[in-house]
Amino acid sequence: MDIGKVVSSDSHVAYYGQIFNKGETLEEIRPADYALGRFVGLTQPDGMILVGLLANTLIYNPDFGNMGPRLTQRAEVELFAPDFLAEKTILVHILLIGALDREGRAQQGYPLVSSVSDAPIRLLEDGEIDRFHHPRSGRLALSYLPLLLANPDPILRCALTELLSGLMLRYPDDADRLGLIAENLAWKTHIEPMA
Amino acid sequence: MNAAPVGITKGPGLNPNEYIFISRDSAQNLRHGEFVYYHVQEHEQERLVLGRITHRELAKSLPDGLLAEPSISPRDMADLLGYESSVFDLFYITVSVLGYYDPVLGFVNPRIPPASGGPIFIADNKLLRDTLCRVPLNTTGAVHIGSLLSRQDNRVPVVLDARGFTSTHLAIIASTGAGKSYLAGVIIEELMKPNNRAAVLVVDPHAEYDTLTEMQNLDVFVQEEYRPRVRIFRPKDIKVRISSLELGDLRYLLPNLSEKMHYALGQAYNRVKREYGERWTLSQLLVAIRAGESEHPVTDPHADEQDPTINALVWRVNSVLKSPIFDDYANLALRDLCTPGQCTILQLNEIPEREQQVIVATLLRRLNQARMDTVRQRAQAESESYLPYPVFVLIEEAHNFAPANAEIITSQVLKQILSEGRKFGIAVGLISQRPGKLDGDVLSQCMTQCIMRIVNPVDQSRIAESVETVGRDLLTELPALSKGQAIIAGASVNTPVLVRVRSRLTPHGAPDPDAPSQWRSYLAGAHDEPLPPPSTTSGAYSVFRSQDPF
Ligand SMILES: Nc1ncnc2c1ncn2[C@@H]1O[C@H](COP(=O)(O)OP(=O)(O)OP(=O)(O)O)[C@@H](O)[C@H]1O
Ligand SMILES: [Mg+2]
Repeated sequence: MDIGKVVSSDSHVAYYGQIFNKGETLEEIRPADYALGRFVGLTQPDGMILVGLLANTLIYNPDFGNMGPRLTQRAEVELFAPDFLAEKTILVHILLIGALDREGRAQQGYPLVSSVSDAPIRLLEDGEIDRFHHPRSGRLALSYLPLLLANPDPILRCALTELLSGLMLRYPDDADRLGLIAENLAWKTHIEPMA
Repeated sequence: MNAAPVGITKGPGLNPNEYIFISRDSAQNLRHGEFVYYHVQEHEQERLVLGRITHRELAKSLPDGLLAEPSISPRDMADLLGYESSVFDLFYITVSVLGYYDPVLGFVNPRIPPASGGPIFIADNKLLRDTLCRVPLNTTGAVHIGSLLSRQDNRVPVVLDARGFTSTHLAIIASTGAGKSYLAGVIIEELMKPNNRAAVLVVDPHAEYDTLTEMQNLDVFVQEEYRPRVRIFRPKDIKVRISSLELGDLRYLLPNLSEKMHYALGQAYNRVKREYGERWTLSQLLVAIRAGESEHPVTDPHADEQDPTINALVWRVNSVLKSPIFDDYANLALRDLCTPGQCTILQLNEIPEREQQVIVATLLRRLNQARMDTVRQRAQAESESYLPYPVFVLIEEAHNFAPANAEIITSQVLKQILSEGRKFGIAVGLISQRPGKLDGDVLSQCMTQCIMRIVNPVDQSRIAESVETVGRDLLTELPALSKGQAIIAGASVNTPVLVRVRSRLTPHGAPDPDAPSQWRSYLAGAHDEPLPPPSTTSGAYSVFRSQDPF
């Protein structure tokens, strides 16, 4: 299910996506669908899927701060210019962590190609998450993780904590190794700031 | 040499003769004390500059977080995080430069540091065989005591140059049980082999060296007509001629004399020397003591007829010199004690300590005098003090003969030999378990040092003070050495080396005591006397009966 589209970026691997508003999609998108730490795919015209992690959200409101007198009431605008409403929207910050090519082969780490603008954003399916995490003959890999762990942003850390607990549920056989990473992360988030 | 390099030079170290290189050390052989080299061009000549590893430090390794869970392999963690290489560690390795080896000059430091980025190689066994020791195996002067610790057994033999320690002395220092006597045994074996045929005298206060007699029966010690001789002087064989005692010796044997007694003894001693020269007897000395009194006319009318001081002195001299080791005429003949191809063991067990010290002092004095007279051509061939060859004297428990903080009779003669022995061909080997209790001057004059395991910090610092040739980096190894491992440094090797002492050819005479098994075997009936039955009166009686010859 598409939940939005790429609207902007602030680096080769960090994109802003706009979450579809009511009316832009059949199903309503709920905040749980773009919760921190979820895996998303940015579908490219050639079929490649750039894999990203939801790392932050913002509310975008061009009206914010505009205190001038209005000629129209809000209820009227809804009636006459529905697209105007769409300018008020939710943005998600996506950090790319790899790619799945058309054949479904996974590559972890920063992808070499960037996303096209307007690329549709969707939540990865279970099978895709699985394939993405097993780039080498069946062994679980999290090669992208160190790239993100280096970033001290506490919101990202929260997203990673979420990601790790998700993976632990998904891969109970590897839960001990994932747990050790989670433990290190928890130390960094909860203990080190007190030092 | 086309071996693969083990690392790359990073740059200079803290000290001017140090450099640091970087290595993964995947073979785990760049240990502390190991030898490595680099190439330099000096005066258009290619040189291999050897150095010793003095320090190693992790440059990088897995973060602690990945090592937190003992059941999880950090290798698996690294794999999970996308690090597939099997190499985790990188080391900074500090090397202290020895130099290139010149057969005449020894190690020469060219003072050209390795180029940054240049390769470092580990020294192969052949290079070390050719450079660490200057005498080839089995040649004259070769004392093969073991092999280099960092290499497989016997790959790099460590051969002392006997010319070094038989002129500038030897010290074997270690905690008890570290293998000092064992190593001393190895050194004696080597000295008695056909390639050396030395004159060795062992001062053996614990009677642990008698197993060396086995040398006489082993083929390795025999060559053509040569076969070493081992003579053991047991306590009852040891004689000190009373006239070879000096006044100082007498005073030492008679501690706590009063002023007056001292005076009287001195007078009497001088008198016997005047009257009888070098040969006098106990009775002559006693007569002289009594005669001394009559030289002073009695002025006090109430004085006893005989001075009680003189009586007491006579009594004390008599009681001390009546000991079986002192004799009016017999003395150990120097040429019986010391002769090339003979190892003489002087067993001093069961002899009181002061007498031991007097025996050693008189003997060393006589040896020294004989060598001086012979070298200066003042002794005739038939004279008692003619000794036309150098002698090596090994002294066990040397702290008893040259204690720290006290000047005893042996200290003086030992110090004289240590400082002048080189000229006259008398060398000593001192063995001690307490360097802290050994006179510092004495220790520092032993130019070849064999240092084995030492844990006591006082002893360690005494070693650090007195032994300059061993670098601090090697001294840090002392507490970690195992039995039979030694640091050898000084005049008999080209550079300090860590050695695994070889096995003895003859049995070791001081095996570790094993009280528990002796208790067990006693109770198991492996003893001569019958077991005492449980303690009842009749039992006690029966013990008595069973020992009754009737
Ligand atoms: N190189 C060696 N190889 C095999 N055994 C050894 C070696 N060195 C020492 N040992 C053993 O260790 C024990 C103690 O050695 P040794 O008697 O030489 O100790 P020590 O240092 O002279 O002790 P002490 O101070 O009590 O005289 C002996 O039983 C000996 O057999
Ligand atoms: Mg011993």
